[in-house]
Amino acid sequence: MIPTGSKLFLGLTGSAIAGFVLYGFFQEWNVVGVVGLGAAIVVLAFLSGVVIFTRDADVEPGDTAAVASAPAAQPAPGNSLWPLVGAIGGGLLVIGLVTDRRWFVAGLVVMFVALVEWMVQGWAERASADRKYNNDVRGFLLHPLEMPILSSVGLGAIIFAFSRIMLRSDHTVGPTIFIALAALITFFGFVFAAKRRPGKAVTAGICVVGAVGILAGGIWSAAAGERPELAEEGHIFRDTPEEKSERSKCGEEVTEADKKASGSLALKSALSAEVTLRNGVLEIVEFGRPADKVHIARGNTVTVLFRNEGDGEEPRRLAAQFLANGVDENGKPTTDLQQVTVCTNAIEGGKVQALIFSVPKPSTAAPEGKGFKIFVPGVETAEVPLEVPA
Amino acid sequence: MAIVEQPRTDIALPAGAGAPAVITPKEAKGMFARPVQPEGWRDWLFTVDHKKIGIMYGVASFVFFIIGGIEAGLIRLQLAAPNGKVLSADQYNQMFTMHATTMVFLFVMPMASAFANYFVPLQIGARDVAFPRINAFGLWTWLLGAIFVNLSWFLGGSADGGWFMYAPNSTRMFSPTNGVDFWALGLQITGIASLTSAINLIVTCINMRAPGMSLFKMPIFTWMIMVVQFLLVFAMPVITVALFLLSFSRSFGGAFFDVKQGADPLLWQHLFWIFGHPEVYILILPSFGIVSEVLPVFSRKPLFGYKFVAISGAAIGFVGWGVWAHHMFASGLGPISVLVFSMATMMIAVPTGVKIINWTMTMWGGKLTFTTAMLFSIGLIVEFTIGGLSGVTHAVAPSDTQQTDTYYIVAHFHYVLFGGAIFGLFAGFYYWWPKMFNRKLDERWGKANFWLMVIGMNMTFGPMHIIGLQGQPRRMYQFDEANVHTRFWNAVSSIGVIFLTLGILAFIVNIVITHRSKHPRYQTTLDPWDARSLEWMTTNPPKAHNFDAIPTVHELDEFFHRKYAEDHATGEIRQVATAEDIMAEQEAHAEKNIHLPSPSYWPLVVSFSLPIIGFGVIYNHILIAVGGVVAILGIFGWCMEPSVAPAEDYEPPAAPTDGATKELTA
Amino acid sequence: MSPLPDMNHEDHTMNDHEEASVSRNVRPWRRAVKAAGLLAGVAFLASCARNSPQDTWKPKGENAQKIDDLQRPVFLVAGIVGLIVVIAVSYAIFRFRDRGQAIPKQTHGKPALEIVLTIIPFVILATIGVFTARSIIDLADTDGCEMTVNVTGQQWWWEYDYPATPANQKWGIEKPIVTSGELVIPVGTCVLLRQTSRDVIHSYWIPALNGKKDAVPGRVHENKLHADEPGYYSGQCTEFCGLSHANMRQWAIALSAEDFAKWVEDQQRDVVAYAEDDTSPEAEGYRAFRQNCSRCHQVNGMKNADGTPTIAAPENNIVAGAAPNLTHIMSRSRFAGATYQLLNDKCNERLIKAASDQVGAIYLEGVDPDCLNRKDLEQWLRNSPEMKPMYVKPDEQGRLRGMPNLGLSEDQIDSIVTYLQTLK
Repeated sequence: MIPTGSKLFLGLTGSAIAGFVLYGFFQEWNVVGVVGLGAAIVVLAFLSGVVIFTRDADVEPGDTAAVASAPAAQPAPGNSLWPLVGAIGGGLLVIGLVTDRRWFVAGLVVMFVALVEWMVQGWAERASADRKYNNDVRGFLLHPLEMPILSSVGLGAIIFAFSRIMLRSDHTVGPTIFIALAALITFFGFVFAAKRRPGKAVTAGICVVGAVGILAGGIWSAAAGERPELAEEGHIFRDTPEEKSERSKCGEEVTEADKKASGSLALKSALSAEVTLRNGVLEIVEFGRPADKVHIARGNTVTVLFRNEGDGEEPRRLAAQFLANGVDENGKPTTDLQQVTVCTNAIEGGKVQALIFSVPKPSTAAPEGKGFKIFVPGVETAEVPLEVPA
Repeated sequence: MAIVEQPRTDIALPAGAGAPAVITPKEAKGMFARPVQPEGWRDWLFTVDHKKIGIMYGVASFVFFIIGGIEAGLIRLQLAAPNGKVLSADQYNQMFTMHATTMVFLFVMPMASAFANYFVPLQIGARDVAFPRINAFGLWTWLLGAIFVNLSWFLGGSADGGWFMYAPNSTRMFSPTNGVDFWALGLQITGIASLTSAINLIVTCINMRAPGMSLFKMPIFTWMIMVVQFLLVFAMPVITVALFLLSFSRSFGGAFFDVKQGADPLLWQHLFWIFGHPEVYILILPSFGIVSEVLPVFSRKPLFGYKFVAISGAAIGFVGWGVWAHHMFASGLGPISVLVFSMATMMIAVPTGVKIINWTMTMWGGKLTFTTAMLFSIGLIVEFTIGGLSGVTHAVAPSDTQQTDTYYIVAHFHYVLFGGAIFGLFAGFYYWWPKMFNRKLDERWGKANFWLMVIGMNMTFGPMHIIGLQGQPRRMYQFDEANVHTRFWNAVSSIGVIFLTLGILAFIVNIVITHRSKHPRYQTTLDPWDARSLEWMTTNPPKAHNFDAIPTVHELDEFFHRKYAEDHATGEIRQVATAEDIMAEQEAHAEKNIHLPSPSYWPLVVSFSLPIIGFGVIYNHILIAVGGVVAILGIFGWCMEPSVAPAEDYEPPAAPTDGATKELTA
Repeated sequence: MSPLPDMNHEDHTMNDHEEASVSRNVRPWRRAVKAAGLLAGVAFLASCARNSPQDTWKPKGENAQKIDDLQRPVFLVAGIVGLIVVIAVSYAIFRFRDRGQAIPKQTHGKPALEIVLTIIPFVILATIGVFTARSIIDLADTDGCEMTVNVTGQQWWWEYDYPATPANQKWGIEKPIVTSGELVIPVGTCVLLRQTSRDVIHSYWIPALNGKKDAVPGRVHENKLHADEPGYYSGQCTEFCGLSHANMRQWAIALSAEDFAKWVEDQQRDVVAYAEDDTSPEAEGYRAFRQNCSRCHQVNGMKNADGTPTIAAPENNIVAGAAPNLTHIMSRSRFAGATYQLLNDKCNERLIKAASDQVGAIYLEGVDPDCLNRKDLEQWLRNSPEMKPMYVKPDEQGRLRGMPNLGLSEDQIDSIVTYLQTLK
């Protein structure tokens, strides 16, 4: 029932367990030893499992097949790629040590892969006198690992490259690419349908050309960067001292700008108001109708769009000021009211940003509604009341 | 599973005195021996035979049909009168969520899988599906996922967000029990099953057809199943993404539907319905396939416009992708989107209409016999037409804004899914029962079953048209008579459930009687319906290897054309052979060396890892790792196991006794 | 409230429903058996007999009318097509049943016939499509609307906020009006609803005035209502929104221009702030309300003991961050998500059965002491979750979804009800 070859590993596993218990008992479960011995148990148990599973070295008296495949009958080892790969891994590792951590990790991974492959190949070459069979045995063990990993890496590369292409190509190029692709697919579809079945080589060729094309396009696109309107809108500016003091009213700076704030699907349907800074004043449009105040409902998450059509290149931000309950040191809300300000990022003239916020208190909470306003810090005339009904 | 001792070259065995001629490694195997010729329950548990898997799909999904039916019954009991008190609001919400989930994912889809598994290989003259172990994996994964979803009843309450599970009502804030987690993860698991089965059946249909069977000689049921599998392959990833977003929002603090962080809840609706609408066709097309088989047999005529029916099925499959937003006409899409989807929805009625016309024309000029299977098929034509036409009335978007989320919609889709999908499945039961079990279901009970179900369904769902147009919204645990004046019709609808229940009971009684009684009435001949397609060209039930000799196909309806020929002089159709003749000829030319895939533990092991991961997500993340390890080990073992056990793994060849015995190399 | 339909009442409404009934009563031939036929007849009569407040076939405004004009012919066409199919199938069944005839010729179809039979439905649908397209565009056009109301859904009630925009100021709305449950609109006017939600998705629907439109958190959807004549129109939330979805109602009350102006004027009044040493029952109630209810419910004009305005803090207690503003609760006819009547049955009957020229006057009377449905209101204060299922298990921040049982004493309840009656 238990193959001979596995006895060593089973014994080792048992010893590791015994060591683990003894060590734990006498050393009061010191972390280093517990982790080390625990890991040894797992590894040895796994190896025992593998050996039992593969029934390595399990030769029965009557098993003449095993006799034929005895090591004496083995051919000389074949060519191997793995020493070279292992060496490359080692090189990467050394380079990584002196330059970049990522190279180091890559080197480790390559060395590990080489090690595993090398070991299994070495093991497989001793399996029998038959090379083809030995090769099969190797594939038998390693293909379940190699295939999924290689295909995920390959697919991942293609998907990533494709996403880079899509982020690079603009509104005219994107559709053009897809029209061309659709035409190509249709063409090949007809070719297939017309029963002039292209041979395996042709099919494989098409796939390879396609994959290489996408990869190359992806590399180029990644190098060229995202299309301008994605990359530039909502650019974050460095602070001038004056800016910084203004923004301190807004709490923490947001480190990521909304990309393409004006065009996203959600925003088109979510706007409570559009506020435009023009000639030093704020113009308000609510649902296509001009307004003199911004009207929003209490406690609602609302989106206000800010367009900077203002003076020159000066970057500006939109801020909303209102009252909310304070928070005590435990993070529990208190009943006293505090003034809160929220802001967009600063944007230069011609750009757009969205301000998403929620006002918990009605404007009647402040005398005459003061302290409820929408304004542009640094432009004194650009201020309108915010009306929040009870 | 053994690596090193597999001999590569033939070695003469030592012929010692009394030594067996064949090594029997059964005992020598380690603890990882594969199952060899298991018997009893083990046989079913480790089988990779598409017929056994089909039957198990059928039995399990029928159990869920009854569970879903009980849920429906409770819903109707609650609504039998105004201000019902049978269920609390919370229980009611769970009930309608699980009723829909059960009927869609745990009954109609797997029941279609049952028929697909059993009959697609038979209809195309194959010995099994392309990937038999994946087939077994699909079954167990689906079943475990289904049980997983339903476990939520006992673990703090089921999902309560409706089967459409609109965010943000499905997020942790608004549904704090674990019900939605069970739902999302359970459907994720059943989704894996659907995807693997879909790929399996597509490969089977494309690669394993009998010689001579071109795509346009493929039986129409197989055609529809193939279209459905393509739909599944493209639809399942979408719901997978949606369910991941939901699970991550609930379990790992994802903000995909958190409006305060700039999310748009309509994302869920788009994802759900991009899956959800093709899903409707996934539910209905198999039944269309079944009636397209049944009608020609009992009309003694080929399917009228076979190519039109096949192509319109494919057309539905394509256009079905462009109509999802008709579930969202009131969601605030904007007029242009609404207009486009409204038009597309109307256009999908055309290929559907083509099918209705073709079925009617199939009967036209035929020689009709009204067996129960035929009655259910005709029932489908009529009931589905009603459902389809009420569908057209809310393809008109402005009209839909009055009807959507009212009982009118409930009426519509029950006519489509009960009158369509379920009637089709029942036609399939009656038609294929002799093939599967070598017993013929009783026709008198069958007719009782049919009429009770017709009366029951029209009585239950017919009044819902009125209830809806009177303005009663769906998903309300109580209705207020002062508001909608629907007391009378709600009562009628609830009484209808009694007839439906009796109808289902009649079916169950029919099964019991058929299998208990020794009366010759329940015996079946080889070809009881004078059928037309390949699955009838073998024994009842088919042998493990399906066909003794794979037939070569020359015609659509090959079997019919082997039995009948047209007299060129008179144009008369004459019988030239009986089914028994054809069977005898096949047996005479039986092929040797039939290798069948061997049973395996691994599909079951891998399937079991998935609910473990599911529990891990809900209760303790360590279980995720445990499940992951089980899955990886299972997949590894699976990969290293040859699909066919070496011949030595079997007992020394014995004379084959019955269909259950694996054929051996001679 | 008899469960059986009123058989004598169908005459004048029958025409309205003829087309609808054609498709509703399409039944397979088998149903032509006596009992089934009878049932279908009853179906036909009963569908017309009752004047249901939420009937989708009784438009009372131009938007609903537009929908109705479209759906009637569509139902008619659908009914005719259904009949043709049923007749064709029935004929085939009777004509071609097996009478021992020879096996028919194995014909695989007639492509020409197939194509014709494909084109016919295509043409029918394309024709319907043209009219549908026009209606969709028309119904989405809100440019002509003269008044704006912000409509916000939350579990499980609707809030209406009439902002003091330049357009609304023309209707006399100088400061924002906030009310709930009942939407009051001027008759003959296009009212733009800007719909959104504070928690989950809801859907606003007044069948007599227009189709539905969802209220989605984070989005603002435009909808428009238009009533031809003054009236009291019923509706319900139609997007499943959780536990008490069934108890989320809404009404639209259309008033003549004068009545509407009066309503607007009333709604802008703040309440009286009673002196702290006032011992009248109303003042006692005022303080009981302030102590127990004003944590969530805003009453405009209410003052704290120190003279500062009382500002409710629903954001600390309720997930949605809002509770109905009760400043003018007694000007409404319903409470608790517009599910329960504030009016007793007699007065309620008077309101909902009122002729259209009477509705305004009766509605503006509000809830008089002899009309108050004291039983339900008191029971609500005693134990609200029992009357309307609500989620009163607090979340991590201690917030609820709905009103909990506040554990008020009978004295407090009496006192609060006394005070509420002053909030007209």
